[in-house]
Amino acid sequence: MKALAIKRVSLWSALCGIGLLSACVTINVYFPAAAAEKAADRIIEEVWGKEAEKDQSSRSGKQSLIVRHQAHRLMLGLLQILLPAAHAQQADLDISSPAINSIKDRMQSRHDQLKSFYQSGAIGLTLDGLIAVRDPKAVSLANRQRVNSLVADENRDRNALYAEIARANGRPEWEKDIRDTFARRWVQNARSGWWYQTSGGWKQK
Amino acid sequence: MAASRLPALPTLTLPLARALGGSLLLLLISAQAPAIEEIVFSSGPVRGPGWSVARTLTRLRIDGDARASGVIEASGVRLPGPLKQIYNLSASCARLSFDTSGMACLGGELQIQTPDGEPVFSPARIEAAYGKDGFRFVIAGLELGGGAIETTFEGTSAGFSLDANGRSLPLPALLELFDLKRAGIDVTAQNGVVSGTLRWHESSSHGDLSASLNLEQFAFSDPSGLNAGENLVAELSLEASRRSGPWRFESSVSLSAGQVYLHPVFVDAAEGSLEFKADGKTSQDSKRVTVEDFSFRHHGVAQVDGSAVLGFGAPGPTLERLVLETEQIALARFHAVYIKPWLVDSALSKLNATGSATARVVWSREGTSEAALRFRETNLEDDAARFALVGLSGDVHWRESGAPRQTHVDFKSARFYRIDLGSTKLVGTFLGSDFKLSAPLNLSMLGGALRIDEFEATGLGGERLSWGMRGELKPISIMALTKRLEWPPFSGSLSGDVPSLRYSDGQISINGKLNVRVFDGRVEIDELKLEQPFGVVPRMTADVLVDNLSLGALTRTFSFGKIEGRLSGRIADLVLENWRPAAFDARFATPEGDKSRHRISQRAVENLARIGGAGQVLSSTLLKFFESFSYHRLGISCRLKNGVCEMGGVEDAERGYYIVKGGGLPPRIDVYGFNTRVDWSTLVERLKAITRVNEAVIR
Repeated sequence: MKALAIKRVSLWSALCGIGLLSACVTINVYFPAAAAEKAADRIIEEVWGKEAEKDQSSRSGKQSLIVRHQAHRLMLGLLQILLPAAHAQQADLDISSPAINSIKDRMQSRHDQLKSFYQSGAIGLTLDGLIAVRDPKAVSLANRQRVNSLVADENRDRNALYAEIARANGRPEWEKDIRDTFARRWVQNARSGWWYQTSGGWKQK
Repeated sequence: MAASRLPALPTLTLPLARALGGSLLLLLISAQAPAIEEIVFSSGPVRGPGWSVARTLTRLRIDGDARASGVIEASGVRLPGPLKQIYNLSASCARLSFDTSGMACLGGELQIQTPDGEPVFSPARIEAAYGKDGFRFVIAGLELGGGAIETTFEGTSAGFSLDANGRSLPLPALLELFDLKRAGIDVTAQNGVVSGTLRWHESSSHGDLSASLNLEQFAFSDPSGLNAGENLVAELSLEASRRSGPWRFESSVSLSAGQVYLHPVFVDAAEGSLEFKADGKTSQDSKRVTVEDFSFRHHGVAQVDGSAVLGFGAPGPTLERLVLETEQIALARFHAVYIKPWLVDSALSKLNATGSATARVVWSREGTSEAALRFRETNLEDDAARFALVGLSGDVHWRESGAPRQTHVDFKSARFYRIDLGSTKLVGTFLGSDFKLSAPLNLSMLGGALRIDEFEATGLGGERLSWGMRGELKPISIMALTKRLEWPPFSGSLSGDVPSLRYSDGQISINGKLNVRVFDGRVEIDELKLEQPFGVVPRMTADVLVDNLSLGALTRTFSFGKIEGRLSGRIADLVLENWRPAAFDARFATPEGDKSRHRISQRAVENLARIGGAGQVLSSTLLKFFESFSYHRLGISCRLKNGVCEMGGVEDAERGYYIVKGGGLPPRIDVYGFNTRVDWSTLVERLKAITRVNEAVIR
């Protein structure tokens, strides 16, 4: 089963789908959620190292996402039949541009310094795919400044990473979806004991 | 009453004195009653400014020997200021004596409890005397934790005096007595021992206040942990006096050990002690404090002197004016401790400063702030090697409003990424958030120079920084540029007008086209944009049109092997990420209808073949006897995407494509390309290898 999620199907593309098929072939309404998760997991594994605990539960969660978008199911069917070429393009997300690689390398070497702060709860993973200082008191006074600057550096790189992945795939408008995907996958892959943000506040894994 | 003009302390103690005095008066009145064994007075709520007592109960006993003793119990005592809300007080006198001059309480005991009956202090000894000359009230042996407080409070018709000594008092327990949150201070003391003295004498015309405190092992934190200190050893002192006028004061705070983090600045006093001194006066109405002279010394790091005016009107204290002046400051540590922490979220987050500077800053609420900085041999260098300014000297002047003063700065060298810039002199004006260049600026670089005729920036120091410039590029070496950027080597020189360069929303763009005369032809750079020049991934995009270049001139300087003819083409959708080509669609070919002489040398053919990955193709054949060949057209195209170059030539051949298509007078030559997909990094390596080999051959 192709795990596809439709996002932001505009009225315009719906009209296209019905009336102006030939003109719509290049309109890509899909955000390749599964491919994005795969890409995110790969990057996270490289940045955090291999012990990342894989949690498969989200994969099944994603299929329910399709079900939830019932209003668009007809469209999905239509497009699947009429636009087979578009599917072929969604196999993988390109995450190999030199810019992405250099960001990833920096994040990887920074992680050695951040690891103990994740573990102590000083920092946590935020809803928007970044990190934040959660409890400065968990850090010695002398290190509080260092944590701030590490968090600022990490967030600069994370913001750039999401933008670069979207851009490398020729879809700058996907940045938000990529960020959201990463936000979920960072949490899924987090080690137990680490903290993450929910709409109801901080939680410990 | 004089007390109402004074800061905090009088409002804490005077109403208390009034309360106690009132109670003593009550005792006095009751003592004048006939011999009764016990007299009990009780009263309901009593109120004063900022304080109240819910209930008092006074018992007076007279024993058989006509000796009197008494107890006053006051419950629900609310105290003014930052003291915690409610206490229950009980004061007893083992012996009350009365004579014509007044009344005295001997062998007294004072207990202070929380409403739950928890003793706040261990019971203390008190003595009190009240008479026509005044009153005297002594508390001794008031113990808290392992420490003790002794207080003497005396009042006469001329005034009052308070002497308090405390030693080894545990700060957390002491601060428990205060409701600091109500005073706007949300800080808890986790540890600390304080000793100190307070002496305060007050009369209608005079006032003298002297306080000194020693803190040891002091640790504090606000709830967020963003403002905290540990293991602090501090001394505080305050001397204040008034002579029928406003108060004058001298104060000092020194920190000789411990660490403080006041977000985002961290200071370890072990690496240099800190001392802060301030002298000044209050205004007649106490609504303003003028700090005439303050000094801040952080040994080995900073030395700042200045003055300040603070207002104490509603809603809270405000800074009205601040003047800061520094002696020559060694920037390395000053920048690391006091400046860099504020820059973590900016493009300057990795900036290091060395050398020295002096500064004078005047900040004023009225919008007439100004600053002057003098740099001496200052170096500003980015850890991430994005930019550097070396040997910066001169004066920078900034004014918030009014007539600007001219800024004169020069530096010995600078660097923007890999491009070195020579020394230059900058003259301009800073006014508000704007900067304007006053005289043309000449930036030598890559064997040429960029002359900036006009430069204006707005929104400095804010989110919406934008600037614009106009200037001229005096011939710079493309070979040097490509070498510095590690691009495929390319020679020639670049010059031309820089019509209008603008920066806004994190993007530098050129209005209009950049025209460059090069190799007897023309290169036009259009849609040139530079995004996030100091961001994580600087990105440059452009469309480049190449018109009628002389291949002879190009290959001569390119040391590629001689080719004669003309070349036109374009590099469309050029994208450089981190200054390296990430994508483009480039095609170059002999222009249609070109009438010039078309010859290609043997070495050029060899090199073209090498780009394609072939070895010595000609020298191993009969063709090695010919110096050069004639051709009809030549061309090459490369569409770079995802690190792969999709290659093509001047036209398709049966197999592959023509890079050179022979024609004209013999000997002719055709050069084919077969590889349609070439790894870009391999291609760049080959180009570099060719120029290396050829350079070696030439020399």
